[in-house]
Amino acid sequence: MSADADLQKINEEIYKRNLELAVLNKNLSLLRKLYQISILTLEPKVLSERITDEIRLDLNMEAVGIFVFDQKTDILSPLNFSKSERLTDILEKSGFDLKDISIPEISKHTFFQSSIYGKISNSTENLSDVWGGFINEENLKKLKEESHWKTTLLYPLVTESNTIGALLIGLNREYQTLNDHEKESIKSLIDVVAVALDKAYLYKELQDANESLRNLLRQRESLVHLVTHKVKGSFTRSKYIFAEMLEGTFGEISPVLKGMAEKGLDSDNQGIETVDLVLNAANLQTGTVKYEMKLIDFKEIVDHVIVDMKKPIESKGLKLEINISEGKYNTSGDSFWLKEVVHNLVDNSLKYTKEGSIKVNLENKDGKILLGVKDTGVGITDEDKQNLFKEGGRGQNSVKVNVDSTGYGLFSVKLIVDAHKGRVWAESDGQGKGSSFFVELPIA
Amino acid sequence: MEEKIYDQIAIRIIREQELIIGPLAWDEARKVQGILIVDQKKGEVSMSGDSKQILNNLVAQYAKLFGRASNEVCKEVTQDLIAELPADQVPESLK
Repeated sequence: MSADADLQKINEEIYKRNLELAVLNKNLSLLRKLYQISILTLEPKVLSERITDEIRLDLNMEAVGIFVFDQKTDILSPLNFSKSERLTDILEKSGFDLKDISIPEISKHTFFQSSIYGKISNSTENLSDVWGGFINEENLKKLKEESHWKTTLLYPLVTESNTIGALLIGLNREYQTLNDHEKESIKSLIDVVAVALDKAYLYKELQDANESLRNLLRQRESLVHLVTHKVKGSFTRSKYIFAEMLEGTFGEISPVLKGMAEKGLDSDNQGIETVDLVLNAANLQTGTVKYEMKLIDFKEIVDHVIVDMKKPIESKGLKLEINISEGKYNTSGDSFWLKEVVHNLVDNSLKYTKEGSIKVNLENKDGKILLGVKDTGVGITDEDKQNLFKEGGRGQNSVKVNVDSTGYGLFSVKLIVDAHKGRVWAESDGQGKGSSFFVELPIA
Repeated sequence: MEEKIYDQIAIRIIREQELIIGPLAWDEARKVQGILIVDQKKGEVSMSGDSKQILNNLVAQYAKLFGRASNEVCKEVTQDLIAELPADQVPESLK
């Protein structure tokens, strides 16, 4: 063999190897594009538009369509059809579009049934097998004569064990004439399309569920507002009746009646406080509350709360210990809501401590303001710690001790502290071993 | 209409060969009489003369270097465009 012939043989061999690589490269390139589309596109219709366009253009096909299958109704509904220019012209002139044609009674349809229910691919070179009965005779004839749609391939889109749809491909030639790249690409892309479509529908379901949940929350929110306002109104009205009785507006009352009016007034005040707590929590949660952030002295807030709470704490026989270190307590915050935080924590200690003491500690630590409220009360179990700052998160012991516990106090505290870029947490050695609550705020 | 398809066939063949043998595909196409590479980057080609024959020569140019396999590649990648031509207008090498 001459050197030239050797060279020619080597050339041809290298060409064949390169050809194999080129086919693989093209397949990978198409798959990569489809993966990209599936990652970047979440809406099923847009996803199907992009996928069908990409496949049709890459593989030079007449038409590529994606159907979704509804097993309950036995209907295949088109999501999108990507069409060649020529096919688009023909359909426009005929006044119909493939994406408007749903295929009913799939279980009885000769061509579609085997793919959808049998989960196998199918092909035909007769357009009537596919569109007969859905496109009128005249238009079907036109489609056959004027378009170059020679072969129809149908592939089921299967995830796990369900057929979720089908990929329909219109070729302008016989299947046998497809090259290796085209055949391989079609085989590989079916699964990618199925997964992408499944993911898109899952996303849509999640979106729908999310929307329903939002609606429910909105309804609940408005119900909470309605009920709490009504309840608060009732408490307020009876509160003023008791107050008027005690002030003598209705004349002199007996000591027994006076005692009952005092109890009634206390009970109404407690009721109003509870309603306010729930209302505040709801407003804080929905963002209705607008914080007025100013430079404030947090120590002053703690001082005020201590003054307010000193009497009720001591009248319960508890010892109040206060330890406020020298330091900087300026922070950027809303004094009204931060007072709610401190009041809530001290009030909780009061409610859940039968005997012993409540210690309020304020200091600067690690460049931050640290408030600690420690008591010798019922303590917190590990289980209760999980839900302590969550909405409605009433602890088992808290309900036993304080039947009026709403589960909204600490939830509100957390919302307020979070809004002040702070941190709140609780520590307890367990049931009956007291609790410590801490609030950390940035120094301004 | 057919001239436009012939141009598309030429571009398709050169581009497909480029995927396999690289930029050499364009150099070989330039050697074929009647083919003018207008813009290699954009893939613009024009043909002067008997387009059918020029396409036969283009296919032969690659086959001379790379054998039968290259001929098959030219046929396969142009199937969809060939389908649009009347049978008597299809270049022999692509049938």
